[in-house]
Amino acid sequence: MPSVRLPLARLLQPKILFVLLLLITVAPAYVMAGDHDGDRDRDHSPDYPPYGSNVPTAHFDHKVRPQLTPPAVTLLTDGTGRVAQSSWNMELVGYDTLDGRSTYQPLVVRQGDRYIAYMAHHAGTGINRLNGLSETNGTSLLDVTDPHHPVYLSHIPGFAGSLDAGGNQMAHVCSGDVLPSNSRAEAARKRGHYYLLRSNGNSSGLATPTETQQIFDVTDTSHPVLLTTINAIPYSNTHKNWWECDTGIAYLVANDPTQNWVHSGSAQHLKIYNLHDPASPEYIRDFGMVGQQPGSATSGTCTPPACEGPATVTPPSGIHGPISAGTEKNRVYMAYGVGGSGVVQIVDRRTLLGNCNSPAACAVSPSQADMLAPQKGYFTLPGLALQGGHTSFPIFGEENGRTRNVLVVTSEEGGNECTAGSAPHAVWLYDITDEANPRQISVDASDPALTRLDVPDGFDGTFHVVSNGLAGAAYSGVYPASLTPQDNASNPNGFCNQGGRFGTHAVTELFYPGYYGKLVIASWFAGGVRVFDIRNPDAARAIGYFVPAPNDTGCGPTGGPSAGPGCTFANTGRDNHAVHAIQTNNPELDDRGYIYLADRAGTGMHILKLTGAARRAVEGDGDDRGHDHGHHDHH
Amino acid sequence: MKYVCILIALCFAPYSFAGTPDTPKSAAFTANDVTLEMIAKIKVGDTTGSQIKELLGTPWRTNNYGDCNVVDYQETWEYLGHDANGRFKISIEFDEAGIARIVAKTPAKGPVVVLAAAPKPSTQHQH
Repeated sequence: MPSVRLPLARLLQPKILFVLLLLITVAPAYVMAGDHDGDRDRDHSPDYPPYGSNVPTAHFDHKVRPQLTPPAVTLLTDGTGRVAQSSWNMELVGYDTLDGRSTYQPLVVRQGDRYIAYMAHHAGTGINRLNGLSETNGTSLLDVTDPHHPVYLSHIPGFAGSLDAGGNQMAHVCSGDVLPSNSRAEAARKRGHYYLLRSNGNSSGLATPTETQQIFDVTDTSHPVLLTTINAIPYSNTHKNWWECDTGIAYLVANDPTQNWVHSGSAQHLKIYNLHDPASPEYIRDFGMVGQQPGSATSGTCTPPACEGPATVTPPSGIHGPISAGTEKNRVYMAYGVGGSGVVQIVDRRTLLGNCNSPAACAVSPSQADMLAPQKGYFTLPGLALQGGHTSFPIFGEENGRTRNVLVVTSEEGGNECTAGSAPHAVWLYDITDEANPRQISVDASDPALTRLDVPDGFDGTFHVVSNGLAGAAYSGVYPASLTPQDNASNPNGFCNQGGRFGTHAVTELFYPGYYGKLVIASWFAGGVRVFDIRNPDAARAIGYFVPAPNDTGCGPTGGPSAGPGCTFANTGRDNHAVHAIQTNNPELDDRGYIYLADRAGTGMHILKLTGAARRAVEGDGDDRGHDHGHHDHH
Repeated sequence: MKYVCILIALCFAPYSFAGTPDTPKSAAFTANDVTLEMIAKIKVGDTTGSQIKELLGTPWRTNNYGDCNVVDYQETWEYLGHDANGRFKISIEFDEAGIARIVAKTPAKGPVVVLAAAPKPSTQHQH
């Protein structure tokens, strides 16, 4: 075939030049706009929530598996009675001190060919190892592509001007290649970029709020750039957000005190935005439990129709955080109450987003009917007001070819050293196949919280509780005043004398297919992270744990992993009992199956992997080994 | 040549903005070396955070757990010091009103020792 040669003079003819320029300038925009599959392929991010709407299908069974006995933790040899690093079917892979900053949420994002950990901090200050400055806690970014050797990339400081008003406890990241666009220009502008949504500030309870929700361009992970602040008027009570990357819809937890919404406990509800273009947030509506809208009753007994719904207190408790299953499943799950008066609400996503487009009053000040329209079901938690709704994670599945959907729900422990009169805060499974009639499953009538997904406070595997005197679903075990023998290192009775909180807080929220419908992975503060096998959701069982050791020597005066007095903060419990205790706050997964832990007491970030029976459970073989008693790590 | 230089400068101009970190511009932090005599001046149940800052300087590290649930002593400040046994750490825990309630010392080796503590306000443990 003869070669075709175009002389330069011919190429410079106006018509040909015009066509060439057109191809160069316009063609890339066509390629980018409306080709989200191609963009996602380039982006490498998963297509399940929160990044996409392709929810995996869990395959439940009804196999009878032996209940395993978790091995007791070991104690440090320093005579303090504290728990040493202990593990059962889990193994430590990597670690970083996070400069000793208290951390709420870990989020690990596949960003191109790298895995970036966004560690979202509580309020406070610490020394940034990269520049030696004392910075208000914000968000730490680490490259965890090699989980054995995390690399600290940058710290985005929090709220400036105060030592303790900062904190950016929550983080979500979306790729500009996955976020939808309204124009080719918008798509071109976002191409190749990554955006961090974070809550900003910690003024909960203050008369004059100062909190915001921020979006950063984190494409250059070493030099994040503030893109926009969503709210012009400062919010209060920002908290656990959710951001659907494939739609741009963001469910922000916050409150604007000038709008007169009412809540018991945590004063927060949802402010829903479309953040498809992170530079230009589009407000959609406010939402919460019916009875929280402006004008609702603030005291007394609230009975239908005044505030139709499941409120256990008037007004209903504030939301902790929503989890959206995306467009395919068309559901959003909302847990209210945090650590008490728990209610969980199942919401129709399309109705939630669509029934308040106009007028404006519907969005900001909805009627009772507006509030009830999206609600598909709800339920309250065991123990009356003693347990709260903190996290509600849906598992869509099948069993024997028939649809079976399950909701994982946690409460939050809020007191140190098992506060007298409080309940052990636990995890529950609910069958929500019939959304109008959810029912608790994996019930354990002998458990203080009536669930198989619980962790005894005693190192001997027993609970030290008494009855609250009620029966049925109102029953709860509660901790007695005489529980903890303080500073008795020769006879430590369990997790309740470790100084800080002991009880559950949160579960992983990534719809990672490898573990979906097989494991529940929950943080338990002083109890570390706990793994439950839920392949048979009617008979959940403990199958693994990892309790990190406190960091007593690994944080120096100049920050970073230098020799010094240690990263772990002292926690004070009953009778001024102060201890350096592990406080595993939140766990999260990446799409390789690694498990990341954030520590509330400043101990740092732990990266784990499953071993033994827990690994076999997700790999689908050898799962019935009743003799599996695990092993200990001694450090 | 002049135009080439201008063109090159324009090409690189955006990078000078994109790389600006959102960090305060100040000198590296140096933690004060506190003494137990200084710590003894803290009156638990009375001394405020600002008074402690006047006494001891800016803390080496602080923490505030306050988020979705009120907890015991959610704000803590830490200072570093030295004694005959080596480096120690002082933790000062505040109540919700910003009053120091507990002062504790973590020695170079061994458990945390509470140096001073005042009763908690009765409003704690609510959320």
